[in-house]
Amino acid sequence: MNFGVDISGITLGIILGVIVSYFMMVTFFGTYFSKFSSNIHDFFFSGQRFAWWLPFFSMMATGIGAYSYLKYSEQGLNTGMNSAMAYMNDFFIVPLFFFGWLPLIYFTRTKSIPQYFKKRFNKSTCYITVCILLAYIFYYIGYNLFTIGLAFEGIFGFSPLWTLPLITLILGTYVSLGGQTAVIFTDLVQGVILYLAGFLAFGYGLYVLGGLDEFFSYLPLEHRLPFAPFRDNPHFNSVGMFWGDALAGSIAFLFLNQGFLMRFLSIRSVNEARFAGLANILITLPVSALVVGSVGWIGKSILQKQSVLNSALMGGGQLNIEDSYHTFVSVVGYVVQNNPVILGIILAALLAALMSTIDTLINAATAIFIYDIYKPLIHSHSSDKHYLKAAKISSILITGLSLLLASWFFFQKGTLMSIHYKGIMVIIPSIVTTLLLGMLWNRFNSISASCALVVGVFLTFMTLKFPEWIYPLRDFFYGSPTGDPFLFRALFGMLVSGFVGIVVCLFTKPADKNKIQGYTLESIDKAMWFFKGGKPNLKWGKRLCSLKLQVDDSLKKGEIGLSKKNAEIMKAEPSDIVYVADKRWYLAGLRSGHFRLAFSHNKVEDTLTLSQETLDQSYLLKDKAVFSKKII
Amino acid sequence: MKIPVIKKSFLSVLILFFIFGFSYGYPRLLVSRLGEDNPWISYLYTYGIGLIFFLLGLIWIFTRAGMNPQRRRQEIYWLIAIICGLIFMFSLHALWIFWAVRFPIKG
Repeated sequence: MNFGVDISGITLGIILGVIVSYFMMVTFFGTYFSKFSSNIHDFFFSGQRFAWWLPFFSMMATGIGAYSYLKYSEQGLNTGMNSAMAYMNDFFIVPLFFFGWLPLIYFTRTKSIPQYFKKRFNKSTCYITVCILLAYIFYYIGYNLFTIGLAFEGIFGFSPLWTLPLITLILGTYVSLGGQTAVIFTDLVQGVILYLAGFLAFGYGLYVLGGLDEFFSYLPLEHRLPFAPFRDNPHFNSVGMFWGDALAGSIAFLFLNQGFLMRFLSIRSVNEARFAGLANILITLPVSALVVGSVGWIGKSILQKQSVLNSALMGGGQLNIEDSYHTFVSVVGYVVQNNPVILGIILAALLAALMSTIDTLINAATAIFIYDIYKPLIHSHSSDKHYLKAAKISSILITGLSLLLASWFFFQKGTLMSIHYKGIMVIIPSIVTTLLLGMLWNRFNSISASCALVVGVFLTFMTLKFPEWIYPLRDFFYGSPTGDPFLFRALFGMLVSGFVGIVVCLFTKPADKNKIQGYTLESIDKAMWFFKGGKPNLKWGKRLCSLKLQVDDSLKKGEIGLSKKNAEIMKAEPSDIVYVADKRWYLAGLRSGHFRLAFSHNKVEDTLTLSQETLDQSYLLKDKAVFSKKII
Repeated sequence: MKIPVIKKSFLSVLILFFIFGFSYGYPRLLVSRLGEDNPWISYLYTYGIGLIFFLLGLIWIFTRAGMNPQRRRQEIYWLIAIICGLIFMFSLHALWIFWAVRFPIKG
């Protein structure tokens, strides 16, 4: 099978070289960082100790997967630069995320979405959520594996029957070895590779076309705009995309994506998590949109120019895209055909990208399984070592199960984007609505939450059989009058769930105010109390830049001592939570921890005291200087 | 500034009616004024309705979410940051459309 890529010996050598180096690197990361995962909390959340920039780079790779290159290149070819739309319409829900959801999950130490539902509502609601979320994650993993199969088929002509099991085996192994820390560090490298490959492909495309002016001038007007047509195209229009993607999709992406949640929870403070979130939305997502979609835009411009000039732009014939699923591979193969080295690097990067989203998802599914099923239902009182082992085994099993689900996608029809949206729009709406109502409305109780979830999912699922149920809503919101209204399915689900939840709630007893303290937007201040175990200290203090460590075994585990002067500079008081990290910035908090300030001493001024046990637990090194900052 | 005390449930119903009414009327108004093929219509629609959700979220959090005054003062920094962020995205998209419309098309 040939999809337009003529792979020379040099290219194949480079692809193999990069892939072998890549696997060596991830195996190294997996084994090296396993020593920083001494307990289950470290395995999944890296001990909440990283500087903002490390998870930020990791989010970069998590936001781009193999499916992104394939899906957005195809969309870019079909509809133009508006393929970037899905990456650039997340800003409207930022206030709720920054000031509501993020501090709420951080201060309540929520490990997973079902855990939030369990604490805010009850166990039944939690288990319903587990089912829905696992369906969401498995859908994503299956879709990723499906696109992995497509990519290998497009480049080498290999059947997914052989490539997918092999990839699945490698993925399951390295995720299970190192956990979240390995995933974050691997993603950091992957993110750089992905961006490099995307820019190289775009740059080469511009070179072939004769520059930015030529590229842009051959694009039709509707292909140049950042937004989809208003409502012309039933599968991709601005009205439907707002309700389906900017609203429901963005909430699912930012609030409910366990992978992103774990990235945010691996950061050392709420403010730094916000910083990572803002940088992600303002920088990473727009640049990612360019990186993953630009090859499709280049492809469209080349096709237009070829047809206007009626000749090939390069020697060796015209660009011909036989199968739009393989847009990325075909266009890259065409524009970089004269440089086998660059072609090898770009294709190898695509193959590396295959891993960057899926590893996060596997880790996320494992976290939900361990925290919400295994720990409460199967083995409630076992040691951390036991749970760590269970997490490693279950990540391998989850990867294997996902392989079976991937086969379903090979029977679906439509563009890669529409296949993706069709599933997501059914799964997410009820959980999005229930989460928002639970956060915003104190009265919202567990019976109404369960009803909203179950009835919402059921009725939304039924619209696959009876799409006409959505028509009145689509017409009210001025959606596209023709075609499958799948973009409005999420809005339908949200409204139905909301209606059911509100009605049931009004006829039942309100939620107990004492039980939900800390879990609603109105009680975030209370959540901060719980987090600290006392009154939060919100005074704005300075950071101490260089302190020496001194062991003092009279201190309890997790406690530190500081000089009175330094405590005053930080505006810290005894029992405040203080973050201490190795001073070397490039470690990004790998050797660090959150401690409770026990007392202010009068010993040597620039000394921080702690017990040997605390020192070992935080991976700090006795002879290395640290910096310190009051958190709360 | 003192916020007038309105019964919560009444205010919520009022907000819901406003969202539904605006979502119904706004696209029709845009189409009647600009036409469906206008290159700015999708932009005005997305930011018009999006702004309602953005502002409602902010107002809800800063006026009704029981935030203590000391924390509210600290959050102002982030409030300014996200408003600047929205203006940045708004301007970026506007410049993009402006450029797309002005640039000559070949072929």
